[in-house]
Amino acid sequence: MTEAKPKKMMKMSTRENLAGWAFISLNFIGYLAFKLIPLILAGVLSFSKWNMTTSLSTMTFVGFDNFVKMFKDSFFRTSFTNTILYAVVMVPVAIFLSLIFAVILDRYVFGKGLLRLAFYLPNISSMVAVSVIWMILFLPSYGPINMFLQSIGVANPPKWIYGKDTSLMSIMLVGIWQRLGYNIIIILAGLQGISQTLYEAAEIDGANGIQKFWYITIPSLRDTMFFLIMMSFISSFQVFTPVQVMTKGGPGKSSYVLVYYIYSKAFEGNELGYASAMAWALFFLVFIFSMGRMIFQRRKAE
Amino acid sequence: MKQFKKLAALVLAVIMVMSLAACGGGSGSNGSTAAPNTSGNATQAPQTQAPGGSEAQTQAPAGEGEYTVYFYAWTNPDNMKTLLAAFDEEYEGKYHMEYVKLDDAKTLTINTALASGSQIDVMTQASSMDLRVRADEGTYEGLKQFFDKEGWTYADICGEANEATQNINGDYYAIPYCQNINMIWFNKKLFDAANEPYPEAGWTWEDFRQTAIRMTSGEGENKVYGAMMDYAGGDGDNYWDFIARQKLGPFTYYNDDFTASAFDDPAFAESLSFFYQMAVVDKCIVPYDEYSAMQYSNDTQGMIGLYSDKYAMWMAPVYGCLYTKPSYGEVPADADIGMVDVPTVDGGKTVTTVYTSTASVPSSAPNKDASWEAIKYITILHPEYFAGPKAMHPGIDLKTDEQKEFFNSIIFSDKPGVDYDMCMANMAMDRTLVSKDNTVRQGQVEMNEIVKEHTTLVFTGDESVEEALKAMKEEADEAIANSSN
Repeated sequence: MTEAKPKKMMKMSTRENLAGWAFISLNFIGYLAFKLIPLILAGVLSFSKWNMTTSLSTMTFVGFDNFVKMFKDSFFRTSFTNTILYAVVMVPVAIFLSLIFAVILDRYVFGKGLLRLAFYLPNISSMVAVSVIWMILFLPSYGPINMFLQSIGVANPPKWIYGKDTSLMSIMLVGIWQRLGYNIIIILAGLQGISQTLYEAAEIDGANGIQKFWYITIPSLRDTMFFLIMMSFISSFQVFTPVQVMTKGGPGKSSYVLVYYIYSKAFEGNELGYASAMAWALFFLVFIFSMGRMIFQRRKAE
Repeated sequence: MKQFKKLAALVLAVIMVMSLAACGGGSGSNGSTAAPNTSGNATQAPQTQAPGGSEAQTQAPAGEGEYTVYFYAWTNPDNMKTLLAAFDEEYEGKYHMEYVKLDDAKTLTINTALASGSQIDVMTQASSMDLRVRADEGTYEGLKQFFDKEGWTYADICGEANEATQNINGDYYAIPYCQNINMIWFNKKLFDAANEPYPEAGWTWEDFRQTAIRMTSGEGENKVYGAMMDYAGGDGDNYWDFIARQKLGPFTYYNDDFTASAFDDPAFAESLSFFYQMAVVDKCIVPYDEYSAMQYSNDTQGMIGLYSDKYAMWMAPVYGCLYTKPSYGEVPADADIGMVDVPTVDGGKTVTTVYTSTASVPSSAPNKDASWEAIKYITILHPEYFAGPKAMHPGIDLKTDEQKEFFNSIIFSDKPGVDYDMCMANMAMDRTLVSKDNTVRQGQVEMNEIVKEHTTLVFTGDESVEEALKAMKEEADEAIANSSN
């Protein structure tokens, strides 16, 4: 009679690791297929010349030509500058306004729920539909905004998206309007996490409203603000839909932004290599900014 | 619980992998239902999946020994039914046609199909630039060999205007399946109300301008403009260069040997100044801002604006009448739309612009004879089945008055609110066509960006005509020089 061999048991930690891998595999496969592999392919494409209307066999290696071309391309330079300008203006203004509205909504108004919904609605609306409506609102001749401005005595109201000097600013306005709701919800969550005892202690010490806001509210929202600034900058660098729908980069090239230019080069000009190089430039812009902010935050925490 | 979690994770992972595999398996893995029948054997029961994973339109399954021809285009599948049935009947026992509807997303779907090696026997293209690039890169089959076999010449079949633009180094890589001739559509009701005589062929641009001024009335949102045209800024066509095209002929933007741009030619200054005067000074043509906001670059919106009394005249291709069909919106019962030739420079014979949509045979098509038979059937032998339902003229040169009348009757019949007799009479007139197709590769993409940039600035009043043309000349010359290096 032979002795039965004990079942070879997998180690507990191995089993748990496998289970963990199995769980993340869903997300990981999607990440590989739709994010990492395309990202790597875009990197390869950025060093090549390939017109998308032809087969892959026509792709040629061009070294750093696409990156050199970027700096000579006036459309790229304008798009890059406009993108930075859009982010630098849009993010602080949107966050500042959101903070004010959030504080008001948190403490000083009735019908908070309804107002929160009203502010949040633009964020869940289709940007395409919203942009088309803004195009009508911005009409210089008989758009509601200019009709109102004229009714209060503004003789020469702006041309908004239809003017070279005002098109980018108008797109920023739409961006701020849409971003407010999201920012307000996040800030409201942060506000509700601040302990009331801090305010009560400040009151006992004789602090006024502004002092409480400045010395308690703002520092307590530091992490929330950091998150919002990060997310807002990243999404601002990727602004596309309002430009595509409302101005197509015009008039002239006054409202060209990076993602719109990348799109037009890739899918209208079919220059996949050049578009990929610009996409990598955009990636580095976001990456450098994100790293800078993270280092700054870490040092501050230390 | 732990066991359940593991099981759940594994099941979900398997589902994910299978889903991804299914997404990516379009081109080669569905051979059992849609594989190209190059061996001559019968294909399986009705095919619903095209080789690239796109939806295929089919009338009937391929019969015994029939080769299946895959035809890729953007046309509404409903408009393809007659063509598919007629082709299958004509070539019964030999060829069977499957239609693959491309998504309306620029060139992305056809590019993907080409890159993935899907079977494409005949395909249409989005632009002359795409055609030229593919021809240069060897993606397309030269078609002169087939014309020669048939004993035809391209110019005789497709006309001199098309031959001039489609000739690429002595060969032809596409055949026009339709021609879009530019005309002026006008709202007869508005003309009647203003006691204004209807415009007639042979009128000059100054007549056009004066008519537009007289037909302009009202203010603000109630303003009725004398005319509407596409600007370069939208997705639509553009007309600011119309007079230059009439004067300079095809490849208008280039000098004679394509080594520089022609924006310094006085014809461009005349043309841009004329439309600037109408849009910005006279304000008798829909301004750029309103054109953009109201989406008039979309031809459906263009026709709706016309019959909704937003403007009296609309510069547009003949197929503009298609948008009076009920499927594009209900046309008012009292709509009355007329059509006339575009104005002339000197009051003489009409010279108007035309652009084509073309079809080609990829060099990867497995059965070139089948591809040729299909493209020949679609574009040359029976254009009435493909161009006709789209209210477009065929790409071929119609030789006789009977042929012209037959085709015009297809285009203008069943178009509610359109004056059929007036359209038929006007369309029968003789006119010279100048092709807008640009198959020259040098600097074309950059030049289109440059033109769009500066002309929009002119029409928003941010740049003068002189400044714009000077900048266009300098920048376009640089783009041409760079692309030639």
